[in-house]
Order: sequence, then structure tokens, then C-alpha cells
Amino acid sequence: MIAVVGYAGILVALVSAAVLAVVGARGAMRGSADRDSLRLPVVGLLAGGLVAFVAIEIAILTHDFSIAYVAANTARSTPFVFLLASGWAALEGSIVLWGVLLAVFTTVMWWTMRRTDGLGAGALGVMGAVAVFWFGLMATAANPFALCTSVTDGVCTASSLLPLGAAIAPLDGLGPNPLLQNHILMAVHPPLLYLGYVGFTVPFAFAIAALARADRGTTWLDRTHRWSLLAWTFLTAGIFLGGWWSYEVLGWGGYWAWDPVENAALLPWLVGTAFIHSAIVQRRRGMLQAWNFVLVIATFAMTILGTFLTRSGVIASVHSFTQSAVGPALLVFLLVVVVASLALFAFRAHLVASPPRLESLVSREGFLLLNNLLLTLFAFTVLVGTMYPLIVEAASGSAVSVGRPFFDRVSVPIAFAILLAVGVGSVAPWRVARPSVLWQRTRTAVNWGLVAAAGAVIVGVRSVGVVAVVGIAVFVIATIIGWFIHQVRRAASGGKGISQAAGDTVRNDLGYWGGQVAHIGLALVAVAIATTSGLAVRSEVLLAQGESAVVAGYCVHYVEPFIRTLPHRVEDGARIALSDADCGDAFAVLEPRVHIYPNAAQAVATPAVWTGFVDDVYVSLAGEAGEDVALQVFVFPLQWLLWAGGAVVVAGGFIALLRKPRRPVATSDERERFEVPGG
Amino acid sequence: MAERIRRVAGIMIPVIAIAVIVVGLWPTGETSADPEVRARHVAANIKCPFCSGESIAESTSAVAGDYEVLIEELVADGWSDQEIYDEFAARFGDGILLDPAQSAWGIALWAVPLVALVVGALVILDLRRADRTVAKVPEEVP
Repeated sequence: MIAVVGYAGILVALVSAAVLAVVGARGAMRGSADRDSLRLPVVGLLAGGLVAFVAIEIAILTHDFSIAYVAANTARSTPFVFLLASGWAALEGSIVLWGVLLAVFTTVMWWTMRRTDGLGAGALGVMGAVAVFWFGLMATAANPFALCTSVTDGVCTASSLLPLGAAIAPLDGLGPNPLLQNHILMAVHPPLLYLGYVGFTVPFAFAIAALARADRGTTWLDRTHRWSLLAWTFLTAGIFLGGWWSYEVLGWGGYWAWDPVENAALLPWLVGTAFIHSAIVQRRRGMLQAWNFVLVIATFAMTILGTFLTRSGVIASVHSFTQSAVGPALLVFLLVVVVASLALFAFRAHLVASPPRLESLVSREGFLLLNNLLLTLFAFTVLVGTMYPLIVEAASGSAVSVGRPFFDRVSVPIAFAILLAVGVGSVAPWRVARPSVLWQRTRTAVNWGLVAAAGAVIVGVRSVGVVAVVGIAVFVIATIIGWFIHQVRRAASGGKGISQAAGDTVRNDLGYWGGQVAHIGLALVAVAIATTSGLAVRSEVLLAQGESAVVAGYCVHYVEPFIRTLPHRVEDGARIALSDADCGDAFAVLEPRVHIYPNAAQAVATPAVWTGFVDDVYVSLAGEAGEDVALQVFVFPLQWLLWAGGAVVVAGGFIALLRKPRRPVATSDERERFEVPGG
Repeated sequence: MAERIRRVAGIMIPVIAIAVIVVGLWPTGETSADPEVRARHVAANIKCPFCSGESIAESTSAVAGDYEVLIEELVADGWSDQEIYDEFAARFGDGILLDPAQSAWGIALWAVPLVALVVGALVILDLRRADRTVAKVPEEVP
């Protein structure tokens, strides 16, 4: 029953999306787009999407195992939070989440559009077209409501494509993929990523509509800049939480492995970040109009590519959870998006391109161009590196792997260059920056950076890379804080109090200062990446029960093995007491363990982490715990700074979002439509 | 007087800081020959043969653990890094190596970012040059 309701929701949304695409496109081209004419399809899309989403959640919470998705991904013993998260954790459910987010965003777009609004109608038409794909996928290859039609040994082994015919319900479901129910972060990380992915559909939709209408000017950027920021902020948060999850769950002592699917999330982030920066250049200086179209199309394409890599299993990865007909469908969609968008761009580029007006390379816009060069270079390199094994195999049949060594070596110099450019570029004047002005604005910060680097050497750091990152990061932070103090002093010189002057300074340019907070976060993240990779201590120890070993100033003591039986899993591990190097009183007890889930042959290793003021001590089992135990003990200095820095970056994104739109939303009458002179 | 102190400090602080950094980081001539570190480095560059996309160092599977021990033994027996890579490549094919720098395909991969960097830089420089030539053309259609 619930399956039929849910599937009906999908069909309603699919039909509404198709209507929206047609009506929106027609409105955009005729120029007399009526907001009211779009109400019905938008409401239908939202209602259908919500019905589908709620139906799958109800089916999961009521253990309706006659639905194949529910039987395959949940069990009666699954804890409530992971039951909820199962609604979007596996393939079909994740597409439902995607669709419902798209529907919600479409509704907000419709809500904020003017009565007659050709550009807005066109953008809604594009949203409708994109929604047709996702809901079409749900209606066919990735139907979350497919019924279980045959059960072998209590496991659903076959399902109908459509929710029709007789269903058989196994007594219990299989339960979620062990990796997905091993940590609470798994309930949060995918929705955040998806908010980012889906959010970038909105600027893409406006860009396509602006191209189709040959709209010049920054109207589409003005109307989407908060959408882009919102998407970027969520994507950033999703990536950091994903890294954190990887650190807490995968047990190899790291947070980033240059895995294809991690790269797939990084790619839209890199291109999206480039887009947000180049949009500033167009809004301020009128440059880069065509380039911004390219970037926003590329960002959207990267989100589809990311989903394709995650869901198709084309590249072996710890993230490739499923393989199905969804992969080819995504690939076709990706190709259609790229080819159609670029073709449209090629036809329109000469109408929307702005003449370059770069007065000097040494200027704010010059540094923003450098930012774009570095970020797109970074993205391009990661893209080629990720796809390279496929390319080489297709071209020559030989197997090649591209992994951490390549990505680390390429990204380190690019990251250094980006960090330096952030420091100087953030305070460079627009148009032309005389070297003397730049030097005046950064001189004090250079001293701070040198002092910090010397400080790092004095406390015993001997790694050139770490010292350099500390120096540059402190330089970046000091430049920004120094510039802030300078601005506040200037504002206060009119007789205002300092706090009022500071408040006014920030309020007057929330976008800029939000960006600077994000830059400070980036500098902190850079320090953490450097210390946790350059100064990490990794050791493997074999301990008998009651024995201790000292690793990097910490004493690990094997207390006893333990086994704990929970409803949904068995935890088997070792109790480890952690104390100072003299092995005195323990200040923490760690329980590195393996989790054994009934539905998985292989146990999931689960490390235990203790976080102190400076170090993380990360202990994971390297073998079974018995009379003695083999432990991997890692000490990561300033690991917490990675998460804290990530939080600062995200906070910067939210601060920038508080900014009011620079101009009122343009109506179709006000829009700058390109006309051929005399035509 | 205060101004003078400030100016002297402005010169002395960076000079002292640079001196500390240079002295502290001056290469001492000892190379890190810790076999455990070397084994880990090698293990990080070799894909775990029967896992999905992880290196031997990263994977927590039992197979990876066995190969990690094997690499440690080979390092202890005096094998060079390259000899170990060659051994794994001979046994499992070139695809087992995560660092493709050795093959022609690997060199081609390395050329990608370099070429992209050069092209990108040229485009930006061209933007600057184009500005001078089209500066007389009216910029916006009113």
C-alpha cells in the first residue's frame, strides 16, 4: 500500500517536472513569463517528492519488508537514527533525497521570483528538466518502491521493477551496509553533501536560462550568488564531515585517501570555489562573463560526475556501494548536460562575452584570476588523475593505478601557491596594486609569519614543510586581522567607539569578511594537514595482557579483551589504558574494536581516538584481541585543528550568506537584455 | 626614541627569526634510515592486491597486514625501494603501483598539470595583452 502511494508520488513529481520544464522554457523565450502559470507544476513537484520521501521513511520505520529496498537496507534491530538515515543511505533512497531537495529548492526559487520574470521562469524550466531526469530514474532503474517477489533463506532475492503484483515479505531485513551504520556521522554527511550538490543546480539553471535568453550583465549572478554560497557552504561541511567519518571509522589513521569518490566530492568544491571567486570579479569589474558560464556548467557537471563515480562502481573504491543500471543512466545524463550546455554556450558566447579589462596583473582581480588558475588547475589534475586508470585501460589495455603519491605531490605545490595568493590577494586593491601598497599592507604580517615559523623550529619541529606551512598560515591570518584592525581604526577615527566601528566594518561588507573568515579557516586547515602528515608518529606494538608500551610520549597499556553484544552488532576489542610516558595513572581508556554485523561476512574495524590539547592518540586493532594484542598506535599533532579549521571555513560561508543582495531582484523589464545595436 | 626602537625591532625581528629557521632546519646529514618508516612509505605506494582501491598501508584487511609484514622483511633484508616495487609489479602487474611515475603513461600523466598550468598562464597573460589592443573599443553596449 505504502509502496503504491510512494510510487504515485514519484509519478506526480515526474509529470509536474516535465510540465514545469515546458512551461518554464516557453515563458523564458516569450519574455512574458507569468509566475502563476508555474504554480501548479512547482507544487506538484514538491508534493510528489515529499510523498515519495515520507513514504520510504514510513516503510522503513514500520519495517515493511515487502519493499525490496527496505528489506535490503534495514533490519528490525537497526537503531532508530540509522533507520531514519537508511531512507537516503543506499542507492535508491539517495536518489529520493536528491529529488526531494531539488523539489524544495525549486519551490524556494518559485517563491522568490517576481510576477513576470523571464529569467526566473527559464531557470525554473531548467530545474524541471533536471528533475525529470532524477524522478525518471526513480520511476525506472532506481525505483525505491520495487516489491520483493521472491525470498530465499529469509532474504529477498528478486524484486519487480514496478510496485505491482504480489509481494512477499521476508521476516527481517538485511540491515544497512556495516560501514554506513558504524558511526553517527554517516547520518549527516551524505545529506550535507547532497545539499551542496543539489544547491549548485540553481546557479546552473539560471546560467542556462541567461544563456538561452542571451542575457548580458550580472543579473543571473546577483540572483544566484547566495545559492552558490549556500551550496558551497554545505558542500564544504559535507566534505569535512566525510573526512572526519573516514578518520573515525576506516581505521587506517587518516582522513583523506584520494579515493575516487573523495575526489568526486572535491572536484565540484574546487570548481565551485573558483566560480564563487570569479563571480566577484564579474560583479565588481565586469570581466569574465563567459568564463563564469563555463565554471558554473563545469561545477554542475562535476556534481553529476561525482554521483556517477559514487554509484556506478566504475572505479574500485571503498565508497562504491552499489552497481546497477543507474550508472549508465547517469553517464548518459552527464554527457547530455555537458554537450547541450557547451553547445548552447558556443552559440551564445559572443553575445555574452565581456571585453577583458585587466589593467594590471598585480591587483585584486589579478589575484582572483590566479586563484581561478590554481583552483581549476587543481581540479583538472584531480579529474585527470582520477579518470586516468580508465583512460589508459581504454587506450592501451594496460592497468595503471594513480594514488596518493601522485595526488600528494601535485597538490602540495598548488596548495602552497593558493595559500600565498590568499594572503596577499585578500588585501590587494582593485585595478592596480602598487608594490609599495602591497608591502605596506603585508609587512607586519610577514614578520608574524617569520616569528611563527621560528617558534615552530624552537619547539622542535624539524620538518621544512611543516615550518613553511606554519609560517605562511600565520602570515595569511595576520594579514587579514591586520587589515581588519586597519579598517576598524579608520572607521573609528570619525569618533565612533571601537566596538561600533568594528560592527559597522563587518556589516558594511559581510560578503568580504565572511570570505576572510573562510580564508582564516583555510589557513588553520593547512596547518593541521601539515602537522598531521609531517609530524605524525605511527607505530605498531604487540602487547600481552597487562603489558605497556610507550609511543611518542604516551603509554599504552593493554588492560583486557572484551566482547559486547548489542542488538544490532557484536563488538569485540581490547581495553587500552592511556597515560603519560611514565605509565602512571591512566587519563583515558580506549576501546579499539571490531564490529561484527549479522549481515556482513567481514568485521568492521573501529578505531578509538583520544583527543588532547595538542595530540590525537589513535589506536586501532591490527589483529584479534586475546592474551596479547597487536595495536596500531598513531599520534597526530593538532588533528583537532583540522575539524576546527573546517568549522571556521563553514562559519565564514554562513557569515557571507548573511549579506543582503546587492541589488533588488530584477524583473524582466529591468533585465539587461542584449540587443544588436540598431536591431 | 620610541620610533627608533620600533624601527630597529622592525629589522631585527625578521632577521632573528630567519636566523633561527635557517639554523634549526640546516640539514644535519643524517638521513632518516628508520626501516619502519621506509617500509611504511613503500607500503603506501603499493595497492593492496585484493582490496578495493586502498594501499597496503591504508587497508586494515588481513591480506594487507600480511603484505605489510612481507615488505618490512624485504626492507630488513636490504632490498631497495625500487626492487620491492619491481617485485610487486612483476607479481601483480603494473597496476599494483600507486605511483605511476615509472612508466611512459605515468610521465604522460605528470605532463598534464604542467601543460595545463602553462596554457592557463598564457591565457591570463593574453587577457592582459588583449586589453591593450581593444582598449579603444567601447566596452558596453548602452
